[in-house]
Amino acid sequence: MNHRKRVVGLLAATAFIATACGSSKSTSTSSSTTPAGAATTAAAATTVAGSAAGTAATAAGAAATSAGSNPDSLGGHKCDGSLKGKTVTISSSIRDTEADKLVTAWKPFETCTGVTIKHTGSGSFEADIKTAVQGGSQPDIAIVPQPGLLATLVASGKVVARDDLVPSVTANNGTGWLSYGTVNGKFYAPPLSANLKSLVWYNPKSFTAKGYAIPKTWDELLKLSDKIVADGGTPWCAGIESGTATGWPATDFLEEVVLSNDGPDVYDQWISNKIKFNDPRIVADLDQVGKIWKTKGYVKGGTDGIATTAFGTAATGILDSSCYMYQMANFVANDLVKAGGVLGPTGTAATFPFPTINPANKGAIEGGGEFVTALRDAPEVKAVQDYTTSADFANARAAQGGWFTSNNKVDLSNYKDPFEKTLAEQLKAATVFRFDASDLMPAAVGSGTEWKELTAWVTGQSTKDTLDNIQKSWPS
Amino acid sequence: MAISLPLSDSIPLSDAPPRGTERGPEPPLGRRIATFLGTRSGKIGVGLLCILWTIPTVGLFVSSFRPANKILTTGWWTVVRHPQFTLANYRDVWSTTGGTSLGQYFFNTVKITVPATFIPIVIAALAAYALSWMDFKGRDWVFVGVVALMVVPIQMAMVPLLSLINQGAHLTISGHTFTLFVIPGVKGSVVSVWIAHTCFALPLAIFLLKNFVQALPRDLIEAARIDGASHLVIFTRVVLPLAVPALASLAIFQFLWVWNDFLVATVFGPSDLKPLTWKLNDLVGTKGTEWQRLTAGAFISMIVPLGVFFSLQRYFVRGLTAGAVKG
Repeated sequence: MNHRKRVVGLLAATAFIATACGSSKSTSTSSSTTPAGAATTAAAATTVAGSAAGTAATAAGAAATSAGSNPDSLGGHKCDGSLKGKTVTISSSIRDTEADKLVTAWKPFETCTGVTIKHTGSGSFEADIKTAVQGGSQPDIAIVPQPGLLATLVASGKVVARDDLVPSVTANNGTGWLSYGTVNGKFYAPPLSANLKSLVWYNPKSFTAKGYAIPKTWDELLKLSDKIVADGGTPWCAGIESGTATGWPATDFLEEVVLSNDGPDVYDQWISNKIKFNDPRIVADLDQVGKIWKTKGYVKGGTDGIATTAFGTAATGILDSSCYMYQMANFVANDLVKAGGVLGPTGTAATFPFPTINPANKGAIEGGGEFVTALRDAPEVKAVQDYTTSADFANARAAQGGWFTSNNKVDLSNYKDPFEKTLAEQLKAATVFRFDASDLMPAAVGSGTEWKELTAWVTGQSTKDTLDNIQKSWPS
Repeated sequence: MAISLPLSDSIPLSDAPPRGTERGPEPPLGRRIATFLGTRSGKIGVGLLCILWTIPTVGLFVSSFRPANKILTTGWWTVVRHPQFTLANYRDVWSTTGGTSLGQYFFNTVKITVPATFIPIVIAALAAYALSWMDFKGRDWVFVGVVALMVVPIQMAMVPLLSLINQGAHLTISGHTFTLFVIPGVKGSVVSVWIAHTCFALPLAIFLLKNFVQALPRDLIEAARIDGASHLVIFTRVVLPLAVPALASLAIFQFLWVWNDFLVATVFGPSDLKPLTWKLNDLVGTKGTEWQRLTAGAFISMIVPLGVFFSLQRYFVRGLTAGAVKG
């Protein structure tokens, strides 16, 4: 009897321990469905959260003055405390230190108008927000990283249209950004932030040491790759592992090639599936990606390593020169800084623009962003929405580092980090800007089959099969 | 080694033999298993199983003391040859979680867990008594209905329940909408999490407790009735004290379930009262790159369930065998 008790207890204890860690692990897998959509660079890990509040407040004040507007108002709202006692709840996929910086950036507005802003960041935001909207427990504002998700929310009938913001968003961000927040002809969501994807990371120190020049065209890029191989080095790092979202970095690379090779018109028609996924042009573009990723000796760890290396880990290869280049969006700066990298043209990690493939599309860049969506029709909600898309907010947030915006009214001097300043200038100078295609495609493809099939492609599936399979999955 | 024993039978939780029947002359299965486990090969088998089951946990535990870059580059078993330990992960989890410390979430979880354990057990105990010892029409059908509800998956009921709690029940007949009822003051408060957990726990809780309460000796209840005791007195003075092992084991199950719950609290919980599991998910960072923190966070969140388990282990084992084993 005693024995049995002990044994059953022991078994139960082990089973329980396994369950306990099992459950905590399962929560970890729900990372943001497209990290591509998250729009922060997180470059400067130097800002201490505590002191940031002061900096931000000063910066916001300074910006308001420099913009020539009345320092007694923020984001077009008078600082008269008229919203005292009102609360606005915000949900987003932004977490951790990035969320803290966000909260700091809207502190001045809370002081100014008296409104209280409560922010909740969740790793499973994309799924949570749909449940919440169905069940009637939605927040007042959702910060949505994918225009596709915005359309889903609008279909629920709970999103508040903001056609009155059209002139200011057009003036501050351009018509492209206006269109991402527009569903069925109505404008709903102004942008909060932006990120850049058409970038190649490299190590300026090792480039200088070896005498390599930054390639401006695709041919130069391939020549440089061959030269590095001839010198005994490995030109590229690559990694597309990202938990449940594994495969998204591959979609970014393909999109950049499509945009730079075939131009914005093909890109747009590709998104709406007027140009099929298995169109000869897209086949050729994916083969271009393959030229980098699948050429023997080009990629550190070979093709097998690409699918199993986390995109953040892959970036760190450029720091110790175990590889020389890495194609990735600006937000991987976070991982580079953490691994001891120094950002900037004199440091150990910097970016050059994605090389031009077709000269006709020179200066075309791909990026992403986040959109402020109101789910309750109230003056205080609109006020907060106005503020988060204003230059006052952008200045306050930019001053804390690791972030940048499509808002062209932002004072560039607020970007403390030269790295972010370069990005902002690049975005300003872009002749053509296009949003991440996979975020605009139906979710079944853009965050479903495209991720899976491109992962299979990396590990050996043929280009034809891959693109045929994706096309087959397109919802009719 | 031949371990071809139907192990699931060793926990005859729901398989109560009809009262009054006795097993045959053959020793009961539980006794036979105990005898087998007492032998050398039994001990070795169980020992191996335990080691096998514990390996992932040990790996996680060792990883939680390793520097982030080491976790990424080498396996945890390499510590044997290259020991390198740090408390950085624990420090990181406890302090730099931004704004609110992990302690606050610990408290939130307690605030959710204690009532969400207590309420369903009280209701289930009352229901179990009524379904076992009170005669009323359709009693068996009520019980069958409750048991049938166990097949409804939690994911199916979630959105309708959320909608019911937040917006009340409405009926639309030919264009006119009538409000049937609205639950006031619950939207956006912790009460909605309690309600949700209670709803999802009740079918199983009633089922388990009913089986146990029904198996109590009829003589005891009848003696109390002859002495003129009312239902309430019988319930509080006779049934509850006898049902303590079953109640305790149910409490442990429910406590562990609610403590480890992520889904219900994420969907129903107010934004300023999210539990520890939710914060754990948060720790991994916006890009999912900070997962070394999870190793430490997981162990911090396990402290209380482990404590509860070991302190109530006696009841746990007794409860597992309660209602089924004679003697």
